[in-house]
Amino acid sequence: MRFSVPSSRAGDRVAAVFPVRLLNHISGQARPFFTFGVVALAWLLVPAAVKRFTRAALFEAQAPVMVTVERARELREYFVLRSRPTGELIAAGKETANALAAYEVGVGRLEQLEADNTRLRALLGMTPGAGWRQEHATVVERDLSAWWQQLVIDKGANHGVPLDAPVVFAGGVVGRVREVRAMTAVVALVSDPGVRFAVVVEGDPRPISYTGGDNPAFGPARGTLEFVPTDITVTGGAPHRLLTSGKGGVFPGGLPVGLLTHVEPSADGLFQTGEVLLPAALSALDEVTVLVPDATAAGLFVPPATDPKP
Amino acid sequence: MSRGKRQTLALLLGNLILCVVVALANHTMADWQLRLWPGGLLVATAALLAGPGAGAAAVFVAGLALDATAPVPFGTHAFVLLGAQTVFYALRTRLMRNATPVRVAVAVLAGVLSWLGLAAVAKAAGLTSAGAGRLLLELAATSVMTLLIAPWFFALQCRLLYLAQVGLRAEERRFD
Repeated sequence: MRFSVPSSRAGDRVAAVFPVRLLNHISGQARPFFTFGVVALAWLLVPAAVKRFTRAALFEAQAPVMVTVERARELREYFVLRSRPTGELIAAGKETANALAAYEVGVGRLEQLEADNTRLRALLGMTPGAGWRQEHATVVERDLSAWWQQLVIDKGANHGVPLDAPVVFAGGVVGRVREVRAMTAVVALVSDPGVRFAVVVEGDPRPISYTGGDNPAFGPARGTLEFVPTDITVTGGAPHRLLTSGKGGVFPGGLPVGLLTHVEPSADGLFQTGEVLLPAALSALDEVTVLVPDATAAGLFVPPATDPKP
Repeated sequence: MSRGKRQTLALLLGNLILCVVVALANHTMADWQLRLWPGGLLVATAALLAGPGAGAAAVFVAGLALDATAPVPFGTHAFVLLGAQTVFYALRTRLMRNATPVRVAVAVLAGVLSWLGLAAVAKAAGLTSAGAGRLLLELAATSVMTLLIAPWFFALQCRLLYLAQVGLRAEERRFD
């Protein structure tokens, strides 16, 4: 196959900037590789703004597909539930009613504590703590690869979700918002090797550096700890609970992260490194809550303190 | 619309459908910390049977679509896939590319090649990866998935090309 050069002036201009004539001197076998090289070179010259725009446009184009697929999945689950025997549904309804009653009592207690907290803060002359608005979202895509761990949720800039907002679930921290689009947002999971923040061991105020870690197949996600003080030890049956430290400005303090299951001396001998077992539910989440900073919202949301199960 | 553009759009539509199907599978398999890679299937037909520009364009745009949702430099998947497509496009005159088993074998090999390319780029970009055990397991799972769904996917692509009124027979003759 030979490439022809149009005789028009436009064709001459194209031939001047693109080595069309050169292609005719390259043997057939090498021509695809030469073309690949030319495309790669051209890609390097594309302005970053154009790449950013294209990336955003392609993401936004895929977002309705992701959301529609999720809605179809919900519809399937709805019909699966409809096929259940009536007796089973009645039993599930009773169980839900009991749980709801227990939660109502808990909410009353929380309201009382919140009122006490506000009164005591006023007595001490303290400024009220930053509030958080809870934005509940459905996970529309889980993407847990060997190199990155992320979720796509069905809430984005249109719902006021900001970049770097903390995301939580009933078992603790899910991660932080890495990317915000109009109708969706990408959440970097706490197991993502690129996620790093400060945690504390429950009952110990010293901050420790946490990083998402190795995530083996067929097992719960893991994280690693650096700069663990040498006086923190882990005995076989009693792993320490890790909580967010509240330092760093992303996560509020006191949210459960995982369990510190193993520590060993670091190379410099001054500190220890540790292994963190993250909640198994982290890789099967369907619903999450984004904590959106809101000065008008009172109180701090802290999810129930449930231990992560391996 | 020209024949080449229709061929590109038909192949691209097939590739995007595959991406959605594999994303669904990955969503479900996330609980096992396993992820499938559709690279080989995206490349095979485009490299073996499509026209030079149409095949490359369909593969490149599908790669950009994968890049849009991944935390990697934009263009990473696109060039990894385009590289694999280029290799098998250069080899295609030496292969019995009309035979389905050959196309399936090429899809598996292209999947492995593009997976290794992606791993190399990720390593060069400084992304921390899981252990070798998980990488090998995912590679094996991806190859099995490719073997299982390749005939269906090739049939889907042929059907889409037929609907776009651009069969691959002319291309097969031109490059034989």
